[in-house]
Amino acid sequence: MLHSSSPEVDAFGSRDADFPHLVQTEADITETPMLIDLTDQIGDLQFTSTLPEEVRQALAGIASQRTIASGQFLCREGESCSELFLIASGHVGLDMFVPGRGQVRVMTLGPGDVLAWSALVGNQGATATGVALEETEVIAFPDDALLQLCQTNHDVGYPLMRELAKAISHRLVASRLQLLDLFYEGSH
Amino acid sequence: MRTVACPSQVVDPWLAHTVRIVSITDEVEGVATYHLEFADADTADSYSFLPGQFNMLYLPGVGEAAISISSDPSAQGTLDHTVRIAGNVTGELARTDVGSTFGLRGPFGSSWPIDDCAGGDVVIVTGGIGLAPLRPAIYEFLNRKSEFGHITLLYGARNPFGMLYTSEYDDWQLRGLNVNTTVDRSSQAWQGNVGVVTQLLDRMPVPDPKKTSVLCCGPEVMMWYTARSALGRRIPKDRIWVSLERNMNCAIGLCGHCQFGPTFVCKDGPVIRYDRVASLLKVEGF
Repeated sequence: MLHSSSPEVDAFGSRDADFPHLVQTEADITETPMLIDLTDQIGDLQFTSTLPEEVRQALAGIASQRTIASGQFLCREGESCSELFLIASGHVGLDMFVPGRGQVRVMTLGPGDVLAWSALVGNQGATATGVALEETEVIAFPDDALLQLCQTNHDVGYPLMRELAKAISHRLVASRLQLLDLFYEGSH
Repeated sequence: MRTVACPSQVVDPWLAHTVRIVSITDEVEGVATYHLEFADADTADSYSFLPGQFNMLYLPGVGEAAISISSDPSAQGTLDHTVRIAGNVTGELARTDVGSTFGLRGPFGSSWPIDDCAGGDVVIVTGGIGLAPLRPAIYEFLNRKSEFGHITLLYGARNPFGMLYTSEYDDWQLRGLNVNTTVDRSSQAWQGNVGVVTQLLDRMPVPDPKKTSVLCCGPEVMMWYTARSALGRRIPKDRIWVSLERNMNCAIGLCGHCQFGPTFVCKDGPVIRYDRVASLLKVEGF
């Protein structure tokens, strides 16, 4: 089983969850040299699987592969994040800070999900904190290079932004379903 | 297809058999599993059911309630029903003790299409107490594991304390069921997935959609979005099944209380192929 069903186990005891601004995000990420062409790997992931081959090649040209250790951060709520991440394997928790409650997990992301898209749509800071829940492989795209690619080559920019809009739309629907509190009275 | 079963084995659908509570397992707050045995040995020997079917539990002086069977259909042990307190009958049932007796008639309704799933992958998507009517199907899949490809359970709950049968997950996993859980609202101690169960379906690999079957039970909104996710993964709509809940009174399609468009949920359901009810799932009043 991927996740424990036991609510007794402490999740990330060593994490400085209540004071995320005191910890540096960049230092948490281990960069590994890009040894392989990422085009195929990008094509295997749901977010980018429907993009044309030439778009995947263009994206691979600015991408790098990263390994994120369990418990390490990819982005922090309120802080700028200079990269967009595509999760290749592993899981990432999305947390929001609530005064009096600390970090509250609002969603878990997995393979194929996109993370830290705020900068691409003009937001100055990340809307949530992303923390790796296990060793996680991501494909990272520098925001400035990605935006430049999208602006100079609309054959890349349009389909990419369309996929991003679809991903955000899915995220929105999922959040609405959470708000509906479907299992409050159960059903069967 | 084996989805329409019984009530041929029910000799007299109006006859309630006496059952005794052997034990009660408290599952989560407001939900308990009642382990029953028939008072009459011949009835116990002749009784059988298919995964997904339900019984009418009759408490004299109170009334009847349709409750899905949640035990292993091939096991010789007790007949189990997982019940959430939702009305007069289930409320009174919650006040009974081990050794108490009441009436049971059934089994009724259609069953999960186990045979139709053979040769392909199976995805079971459920939430909350919706796992109860799918537990017999899980047992059946695991008992016949070699006939199927990957079998995956995607189970969502309101919070970590709302999950049923958690003590069985490790055994299910060992026997070949890929168990994935998620909660809508996490706690500090929860280290599993957070988010709606449909996201797990959006994310999981579906290598051969045309041979993948989806069995779904939960709130109708959840089932509607599950079907949408499944269709988005290119799983054909005639390989998606849902289990519906309606006000079932007679359980044999006579009274009409459970009518859902042209369908009588007690007789044609509760397990129904998605494409046969899709147009009604989002219609107000149904």
